[in-house]
This record gives sequence, C-alpha cells and structure tokens, in this order.
Amino acid sequence: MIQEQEKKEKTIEIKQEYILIVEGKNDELFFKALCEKIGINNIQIISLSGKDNLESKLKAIKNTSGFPTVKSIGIIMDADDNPTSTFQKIQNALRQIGLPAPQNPFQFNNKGKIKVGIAIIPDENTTGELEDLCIKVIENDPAFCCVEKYIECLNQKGLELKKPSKSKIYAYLSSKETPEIRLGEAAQKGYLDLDHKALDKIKNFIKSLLK
Amino acid sequence: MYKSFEIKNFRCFSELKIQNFERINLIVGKNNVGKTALLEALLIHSGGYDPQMFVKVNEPRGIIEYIRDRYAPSQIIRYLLESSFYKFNTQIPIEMIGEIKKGNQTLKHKLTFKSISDKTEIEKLNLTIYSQQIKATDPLISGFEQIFELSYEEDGKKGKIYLLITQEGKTIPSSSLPPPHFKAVFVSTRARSTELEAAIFSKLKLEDKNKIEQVLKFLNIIEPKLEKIEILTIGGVPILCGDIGIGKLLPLSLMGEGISRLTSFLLYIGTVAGGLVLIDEIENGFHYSVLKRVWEAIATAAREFDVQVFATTHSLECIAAAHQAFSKAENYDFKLYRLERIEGKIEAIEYDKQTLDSALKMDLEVR
Repeated sequence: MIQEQEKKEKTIEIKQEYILIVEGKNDELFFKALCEKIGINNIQIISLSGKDNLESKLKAIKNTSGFPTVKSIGIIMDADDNPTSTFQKIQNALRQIGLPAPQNPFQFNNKGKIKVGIAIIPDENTTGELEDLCIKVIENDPAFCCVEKYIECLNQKGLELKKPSKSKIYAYLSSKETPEIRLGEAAQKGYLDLDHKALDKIKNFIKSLLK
Repeated sequence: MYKSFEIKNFRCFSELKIQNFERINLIVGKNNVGKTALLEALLIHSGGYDPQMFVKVNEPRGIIEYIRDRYAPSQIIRYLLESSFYKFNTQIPIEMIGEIKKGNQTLKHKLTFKSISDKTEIEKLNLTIYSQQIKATDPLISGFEQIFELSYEEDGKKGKIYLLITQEGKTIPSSSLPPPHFKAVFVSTRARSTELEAAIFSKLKLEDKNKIEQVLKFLNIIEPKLEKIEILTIGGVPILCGDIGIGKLLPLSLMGEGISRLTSFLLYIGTVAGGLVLIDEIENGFHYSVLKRVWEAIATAAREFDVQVFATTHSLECIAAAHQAFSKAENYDFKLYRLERIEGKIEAIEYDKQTLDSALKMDLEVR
C-alpha cells in the first residue's frame, strides 16, 4: 500500500517542447533508446498505457500542466490488423479534442501553432506491431535462423501461435545474456542493432518532430 | 446553481471564464494561481448586491489582523478594497458575471465594482443614507474618504449601490440591499469557531429537527458509532459533542480533526440549503483512507439539501478519492478544474469524467 502511494506521487508533467506519444511502457523504453541512439535528448516520451479511450487519453495529455509550451507532437502506434483504420482513429481523436491532425501517416500538419504527426508501425501499409519492425532488424542475425527453426518446429507440431512476431522476438531475446528481458529493455541494453536501416523511416519521423 | 462564472480584474485574475460547473466542483492548481480568490469571487457574487462583501471576504484570510496595528482604520478598509482590484488598479472596474440555474430558468447576474474618484462624478451622486436623500457633497458626509460603486444587472433589471468609506474606517452602503439569490458560506482553513458551529447546529435544529438526523446519517458514513450530536456548555462555551456509545458525551474535536471538520461541512451544507458552500483546502485533517467516504458524505448531503459545493485542494489523493466516489455514484455530478498561469494569464482547465480517469491512469499530473 505504501509503495502504491509512493508510486502515485510520481506524476508526469510536460517538461519538453517536443513530445512523442507511444502505446505502452515497452514502447516508451524502446523509443527512448532509439532517441538516444540518434542523439536526441529533448523529446519527452509519454506512454498511453494502452490503446483504449484514445480520445480522453490524448485530452488528458493536452490538459497536463506545461502543454501550452509544446511545439510538436509525434504519435507512434501499432498498425495491428489495419494500418489505415488505426491512422484514421488517431486522426479523429485529435480532431475531437481540437488538435490539428496530419493528412497522411509519417507527415506533419503544417498549419497552426502546434505540429502533429502520426507514425504507424511497422509501416502505413503493413499490419502488425513494434515486434514486426524489430524482426527486420534481427532477421540477418545468426541466432535468427534458430528462431525460425524453432517456430517451424512448433508449427509442425500443430501448435498455433497467436502472435508469431512476438514469439519470434522473445525466442530471439532468450538467447541473450539477460534472457527474460522485454523488447524495450532489450533495445536499451543494446541487444538490437538500432543502426539498422529498417529503423530509418521511424528515426526520420522522430527527427522531423524537431524541425 | 452556478453554470458558469466569469471574472475580470479581480485579485490575480485579469480575465477568467469557467464553464460547465457541476454540483460539486474541485479547484486545483499551484500556489498563487487564485484558487482561494476564485472562492472569494463566488462568495462576493453570491452576495448579490452587497458591496461590503469586498471587505468581508478578507476575513478568512486573516489580512485584517495582519495589518490592523500598522494602519489607520480607514486605510485598512481602503487597502482591503483596493487589494480586490487586479494589480491594485482601481481605475479598471472589477466585473463578475454568473450564469445561475434556478429550476428551469437560467439567470445572468452581472456585478461591476469600481472606485469613484472623479470629483464631478461624486458631485452628481444622489445617495440614500439612513433613509435620507442627500448629495454626496453634502457637508454632512464630507468626512467620507472614498466612494465605491457596485452596479448590478440581471435580466434587464439594473441598479447601483454606493459604498462610502468614512474616516473612522466604517463602510456604509448607500441604500438598503436586496436579498441575495441564495445563501453562501465560506469555510476557511483557519481555526474554526466552536461557538459558531454550535450556533449553526442550533439554527438547523430549530428550523427542522429532521435536518440534524440527516446530518448525523451522513456523518455515520465516516463514523458509524456516532449515535447523537448535542450541545454541551463547557466553561461557558457551547461545544458540539457526540455520543459514540461510551457512556459519556465527547466533544467532536476530541474525536479527531476529520470528524469535526466533516461535521462543520455538513452543518454548513444543511444551513445554506439551496445555496453555496465554499471550502478552502478540503483535504485538511482527513487521512487519505477516509477521503472517499468524506466525498460520499459531502455529495449525498449536497444533493439532499440542493447545495452546490466549490472546494480547493492540493492533494492528489483527494482528487483520486473524489473521482472514485463519484464514479461509484448514480450520477457523476463532479468536475475538476485546474487553474494555471499560461503566458502570464490565469486560465481554467476542465477535466470531465473520462479525461480525469485517463489522466489518473496515466499518472499525469492534474494538480
């Protein structure tokens, strides 16, 4: 209970002019590592703690102390099973709360006082999530062929995988020094090659937040 | 019930508009953003037509005690009145506009308060003092230090009341005052008066004995053992005491700060039925674990007596407890507002149920 109270005392205020809104804690850690990799330290990353109630969550951020000084916002979300509808949902939520919305993914609106952009991962034409993007980063790694064999073996045994990309990533990470690690922490520990070209598009999106 | 409220040039506010009030409204914000000033503005406005409210409103802040020894009485009154104006600038009138919902009707009530220093303007004034029509320049009142003017406007009805400050530091309104729209009370953080509470208790009991039963029922929400409240005179001072089944009546203050503070909130709510209760730093004296029940008691009493509550707090636990209590209630008749200085100007940021829920879940700072 005491811990619960202490945890609650640590609240988030908006301290930077550039903010990046991501889906969850894991994404927060991943993109923090990615920002560090490209030498950016003046972007504040805020986790939505899930994709539900998007409109009220964005409004809660807009209401937070310090928001009036924000110059630009980047929103990064998983495409899940429909990249177009995910993009449109974010667009609508932004409009509902009176923030400008970009016309297309990976672009920023160029009107108004505040700049807003939306990135969809793995990209605007592909279904999936952060793990799918990270598979591209690791697919040439020697350990990855073991992962493929493992997954193939599971398939042969008739074991159906609900989230194959997640299974692949965590099978891959289990070969690392700290095997029980989550993706965000793995990025921070350097288990993923953050210089990989598969991440260029999302890096460029983050960089254009600051432009 | 207030639906919206607008303030211009009062204390720290150059211009502020707050809308969509609910029955219970909680005001948060950093120090010196005008939380207490907002309650004071509401108290003045709810007074309807009384320019002396601009002086009376200072009492809970203890300003009067602070400057009493340093200035002459008339200077004190002038100081108090001038301090009501934004940046002490009495040249720019104070304006307060409230949209008040009464049954099915919505009434717009506007107050404008200004200092009259222009000699020719003073010469033109006709005042009714002690039921006599006299000119402001009459030798009889040459001893007046300063004149303030309060004008009111509501649904086409207009009027003006002057407030004269005498050299002895007295304030005299120029005419008898129409009654206010409803009763209002300000509960400050400063020490409460046991005598006043006993007086309110007696008044409520005289009005309707059942009201005391109701207050007791709400108090049972946080102290189930409390069976009865009575007034005992101890050392010549009337004190509220409670029966918690220990064979003796116990002063409420000895049952703890929480129970005695909640008692005074509930008594005030009962006394101003149909009106307004303003509570500064509502969380004071309550352990965080009872805050949810405190809100339940206040909300139930406010609904029952048709009272609107405006309270301030610095406590996140208090906000979270309110959100929980109202989410559980049949009707989420609660609104959170944060006052915040944005580019030098104070603005109110409104949190509806969903937004507050999200902010609390995401650990975003709402205070």
